[in-house]
Amino acid sequence: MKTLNREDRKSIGIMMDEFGVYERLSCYDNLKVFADIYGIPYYKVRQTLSEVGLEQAMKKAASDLSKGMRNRLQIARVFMQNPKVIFLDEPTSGLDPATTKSIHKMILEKKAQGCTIFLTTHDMAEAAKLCDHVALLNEGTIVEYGTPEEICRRYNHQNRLRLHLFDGTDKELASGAESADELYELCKAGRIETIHSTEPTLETVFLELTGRKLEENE
Amino acid sequence: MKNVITILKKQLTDTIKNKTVLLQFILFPVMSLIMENLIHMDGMPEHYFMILFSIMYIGMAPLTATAAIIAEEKEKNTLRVLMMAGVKPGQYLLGIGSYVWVICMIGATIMGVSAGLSAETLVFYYVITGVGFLASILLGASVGVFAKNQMMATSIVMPVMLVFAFLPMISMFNDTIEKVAKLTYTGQMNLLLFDMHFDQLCTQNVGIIFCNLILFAILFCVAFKKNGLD
Repeated sequence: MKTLNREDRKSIGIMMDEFGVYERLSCYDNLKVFADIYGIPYYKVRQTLSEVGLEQAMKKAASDLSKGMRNRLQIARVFMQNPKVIFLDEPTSGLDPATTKSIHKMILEKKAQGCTIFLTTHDMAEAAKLCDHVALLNEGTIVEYGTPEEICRRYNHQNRLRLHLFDGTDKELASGAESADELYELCKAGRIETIHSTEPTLETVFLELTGRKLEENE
Repeated sequence: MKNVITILKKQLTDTIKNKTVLLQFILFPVMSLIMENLIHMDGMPEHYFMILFSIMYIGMAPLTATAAIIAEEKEKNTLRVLMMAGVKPGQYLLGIGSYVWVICMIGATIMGVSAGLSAETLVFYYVITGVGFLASILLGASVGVFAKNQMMATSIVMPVMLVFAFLPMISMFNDTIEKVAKLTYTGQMNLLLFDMHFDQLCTQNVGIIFCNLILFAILFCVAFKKNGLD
């Protein structure tokens, strides 16, 4: 970081869970400090706060904010400088679903604007929803890398179909030619209520990768 | 320079809302203002209360305020955010230091003017208090940099503050304490403020104050080298 100049630093935004805000200062004053450092005009402060939904809380002291609002204030601090590269560490950790959704929306908007975002999360559903590429880490080592779809396909060992029938029973079929006739008959008879492939989610892949390692250690 | 001014502005906004720090800055000037104007006794030295509270002000306000501000920023990780935004440690410390110094000088002005000091003595008073505030800021910054959190900073600052703020007062009751107090910058400043003329400045006064300043600067460098700022 020592070799970076002001413009370089301005183009990198970092939000970490442990980073604090100035508790006694209002949301507006909190951002104003960084607007002064980066040489950002003050109208951008107001604009960014309304972008993250904190317009009504502009004059509220940071100490009076809820955890979700505080996270949004931290995100506003990052977004205000219009960075090209953003590092977000657990931006939705411990938040309610509504706030999580609004933060996801903001991240996706930045992504659509062309920002490169490095997101650290323990929530695999969040990673699958927001990320183009995922690196799964175990004990500090990347154990898997790729698009969420690629990774899930790579670990689709079972390759089966899971059916729930109208009579309340569940059925699993191999996802191949050998099950085609049986599937056809069930469809034809109108007995299938739901049908799903058994391809894994990022969460099951992660558990498989890290769980297997734990077993090996034992 | 821009970053120094930003830190200064931030701190000014924060102080208005930080009652603990605000109280430290206004308590002694207000006390001096009241006591100087209300209490007059025969045989009492001129500007007695103003001098008494000035020494306490020098030994307490900048020391505790500087340590508290730095320790709070470290504890709450706002300092790290500033560093990552490109604020250099020197700029931050200069911003905090100049903010505390300016506020204390305003307090000193209230004390000096309200006590009715003449123009000449006011200049002398400014020089003494200005150097005193600087020494206390250096010492406070050393504690703030050394301490890992606010609680640790308070635990260190309290005894240090008691020594520098009250030793000159207690020295009038005990010869041994007087000898020790004379080795401190506040002790020397206490002697100087009772006869506010540049003519009375001697090598001993200046030397001891200068040695205190050097000692605090070394302490600060050691603390900074050991812990850094973030």
